[in-house]
Amino acid sequence: MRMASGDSLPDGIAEHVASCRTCADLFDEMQRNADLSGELGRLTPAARRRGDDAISDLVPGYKVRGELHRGGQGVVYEAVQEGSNRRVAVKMLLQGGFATTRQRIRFEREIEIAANLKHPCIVTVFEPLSLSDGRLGYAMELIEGDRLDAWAAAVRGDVLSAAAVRRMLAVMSKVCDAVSYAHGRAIIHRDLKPPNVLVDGDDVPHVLDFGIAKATENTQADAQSTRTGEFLGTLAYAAPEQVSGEAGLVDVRTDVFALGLMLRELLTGTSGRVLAGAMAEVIEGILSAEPKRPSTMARAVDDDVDVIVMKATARDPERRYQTVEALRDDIDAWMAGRPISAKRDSRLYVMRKTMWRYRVALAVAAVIMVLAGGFVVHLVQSNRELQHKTELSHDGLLLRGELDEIAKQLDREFESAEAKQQQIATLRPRLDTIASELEAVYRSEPLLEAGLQAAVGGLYRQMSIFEPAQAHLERALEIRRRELGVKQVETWRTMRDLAELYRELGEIQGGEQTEASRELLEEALDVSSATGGATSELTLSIMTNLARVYYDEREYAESRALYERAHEGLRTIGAADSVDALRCETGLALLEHEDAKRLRRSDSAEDQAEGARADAASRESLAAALERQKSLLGVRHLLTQKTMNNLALAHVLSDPPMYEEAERLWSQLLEARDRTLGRHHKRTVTTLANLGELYVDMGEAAQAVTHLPNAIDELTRLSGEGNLNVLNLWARLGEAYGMLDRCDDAERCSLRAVKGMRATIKGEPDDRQAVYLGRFLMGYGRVLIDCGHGDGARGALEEARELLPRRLGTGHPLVREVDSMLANLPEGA
Amino acid sequence: MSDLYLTTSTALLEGLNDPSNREVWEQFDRRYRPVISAFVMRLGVGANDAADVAQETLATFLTDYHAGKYDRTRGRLHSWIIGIARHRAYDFFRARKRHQHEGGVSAMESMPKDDELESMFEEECRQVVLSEALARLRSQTRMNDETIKAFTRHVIDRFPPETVANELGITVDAVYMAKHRCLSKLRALVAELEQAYELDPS
Repeated sequence: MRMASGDSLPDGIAEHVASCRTCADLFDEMQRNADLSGELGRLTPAARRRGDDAISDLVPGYKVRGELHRGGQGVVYEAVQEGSNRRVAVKMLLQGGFATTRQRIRFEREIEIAANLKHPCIVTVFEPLSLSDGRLGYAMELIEGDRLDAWAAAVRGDVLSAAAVRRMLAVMSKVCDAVSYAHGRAIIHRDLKPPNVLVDGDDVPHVLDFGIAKATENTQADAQSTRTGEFLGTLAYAAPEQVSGEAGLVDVRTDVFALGLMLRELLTGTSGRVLAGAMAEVIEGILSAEPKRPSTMARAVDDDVDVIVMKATARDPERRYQTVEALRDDIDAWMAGRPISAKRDSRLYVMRKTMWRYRVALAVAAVIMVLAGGFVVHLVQSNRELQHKTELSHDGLLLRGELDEIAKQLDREFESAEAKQQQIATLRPRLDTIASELEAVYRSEPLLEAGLQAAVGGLYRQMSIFEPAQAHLERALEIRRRELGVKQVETWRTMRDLAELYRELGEIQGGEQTEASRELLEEALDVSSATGGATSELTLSIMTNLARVYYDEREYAESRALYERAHEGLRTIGAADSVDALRCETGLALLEHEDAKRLRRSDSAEDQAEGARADAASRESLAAALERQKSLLGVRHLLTQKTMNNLALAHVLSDPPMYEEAERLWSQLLEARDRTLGRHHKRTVTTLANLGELYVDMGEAAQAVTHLPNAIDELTRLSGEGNLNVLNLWARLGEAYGMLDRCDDAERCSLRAVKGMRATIKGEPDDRQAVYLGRFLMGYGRVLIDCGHGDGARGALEEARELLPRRLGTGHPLVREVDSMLANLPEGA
Repeated sequence: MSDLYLTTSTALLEGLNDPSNREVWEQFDRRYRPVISAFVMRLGVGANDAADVAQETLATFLTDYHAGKYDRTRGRLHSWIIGIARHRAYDFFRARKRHQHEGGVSAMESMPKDDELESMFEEECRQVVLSEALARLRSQTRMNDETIKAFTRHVIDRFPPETVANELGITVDAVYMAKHRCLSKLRALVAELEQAYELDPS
């Protein structure tokens, strides 16, 4: 090795080098190094010193003293702030002097946000720093303490004692408190791990790097040299949803997971994850390993602490503590000797071996997802295929990020329906572009493609653009069926989403789509309850959807059975307030109402009385469901709105009709729909029409004539002027004008309904048309009588008398009413 | 996703087409300003004035570029920058001659030939690349401090390995190891940067 530039090789060696490839290469490399070395020696003094340890002059306003720590993201120095003489820590990022303006601005913004976090257990960030050589960094509180893992190792000693467990939980409670405080300010850490927590001499933890994870994102040039160990360091605390490819957004429960894993590591000395071996194996290990209860490794750990760790690190985010605060509360409860909240749930599901089998391919494709919050790592893989996969998944991640961004912009509350439409119009081209590339680009990575297809389809559905929504969801399902088979949770989820889309389409187009929805849901329910357990949240959600389809198809017994099972299941897993649970409540109340209706139609007086009681009870159930929806979901939610409408209808149909209740509900609903859907939306128009008709029934003619003309305009635009509902509204408007003695308007409107109806009937009217025409004729006749044109009424009434009994029979109240009107016609008319 | 700094000059030039693209311009500026400064100093412009001449050169470059005067097919980017820098230096000498009646003429008359200018410019590029690579070695790699210190004392400051070993309390072998490791790393960094400058690897 010792061979200076320019030395000539001794003869024997030169001969060997000439014939030995390895030595020739080695020699060549040394020669090149020697050349470079010579060149470097000739550099000007200024050029030589660039980036050298002259850092003490590089940070304006600070005197840098010594290096405290050198790690994957940067170097931390101890420094003194000039002027205040305050001792601080200065972290310089390993980014060279080449941060672009945009990177710098983003970095500074993140630092400012972090600087707003003031908590005794969060390391206070003072200010962003921009070195004169262009590097970025920040000044923060100087903490003298040990990294959490080192601290825990010392506390643990050889055998973990009960006192040590108590000390560790006390520290973790404070860490949770800090993280929870930050969550309250909408800041998620995303890279919680023991090295990011320092514990001082008083056992007070200090969490580092809050909110800065994103700002410190490495550039690719850096990433190439990121050592595998550091990469795994981040992976080690990643939650499954960050790695699974199905991950949507990282949320507070991601931090809950990391905290749980940290607690496990404190207690047992290991996070329970195997981080050795090829990348793919490591990832699979992480995803498929069934973690052991900490007590199996450390005897001092009791049952309750086991439960806390197991619940915090549950694979499914839904089953974890839903907030860091909840985790802290349980830790505190344990410390105080109180029962913990997780105890009851845990028996039911936390300990259960629910295997979520992720495939290696999916996981490898998704591995970069881990780094969404941290680095972008260029994995050095000898395997080219894997390399390609990694690149693709990297692109996929970026796409995913963009889709999340679109989802976020769609999800926010809009001032008005117009504003939402406008937003959709802006977002749609972006979505179209992504959608058009998916299949071609990701064909070689089917699972990645499926995830993206499902996300794209979901977004189209959210935009109510059904055709592409259907195409993309169908594609996602096709791939998942083929690649994963039907026994995978991802497949069921897509089945459910697609079925829900079919159901929505069925409401619009009818027939076939509803049938498709039903078939898909039945299949999904079969496989998911057989494979995933009847009480997984997804299974229960599928159950709820299928119950809904059965209800629509009037298969009430099946519907009820499913609603009840789903409801019970959701309550058991602690999801009693979920949207699906609320849907179950509404569904069950509506089924009660159907029962009541059937009883009321019965001939037996006993049944009728029972029906009336059941009717009142069902309306109470609906009202109770509505109250819960209002408080849990708000009136903007579609489910709340539907329930309002159903309850109003039930009030109108009850005996006696509860008009005031219905009016109150429909008025509220009209306002809500106006805001959320816009006044031109079909549902809004329907509510307007319902309310208008209600006013006619209530005898509030003045109100009716202000609502109905609007409703007629809108509905005509939506459905055409020959539409039965439109004609019906004309008839009702005529009625209202009649009450107000506005005879000309009344005659005009009533006649319009009659003429319109005649125009739609080709040849002989069918039963339904006969009823409508009969009713319109009746209304017209009544208007004529009220306005003193009784002479013209007889023809209309006689025709009505002829038409109505065809379907209603002669005993129907309407028919009897026509009879009496005819009998009371003035003589000679 | 690539670090903008490592995009080649060609890509940078395309970015410059968009006048509002400040970032690309900053990149370009950061890359060539030190080279141009050092280059015009070698033409005889004093250290204090070199910054001004480099400023004028870059300003002219940008104006001309936006005016579409640069045709890639007709010559290398470097030749074009050299041409502008030479003119600006020439203007500088002329102005000085007017004001001071001295110095400028000889410098003007002794302006080197084109191919000499070219190699001077490339040499300055190389200097910038090397010093940049050194800076990166120090700030961006995870080489430990001692390794870098040993390398600096021995290779850059040209102290014998034994001296360095004594000074740092390490073995002579460790100094050689440090030298080898840092040089190998540096070579990779230099290659990367040269590509950005579109230099021929030397």
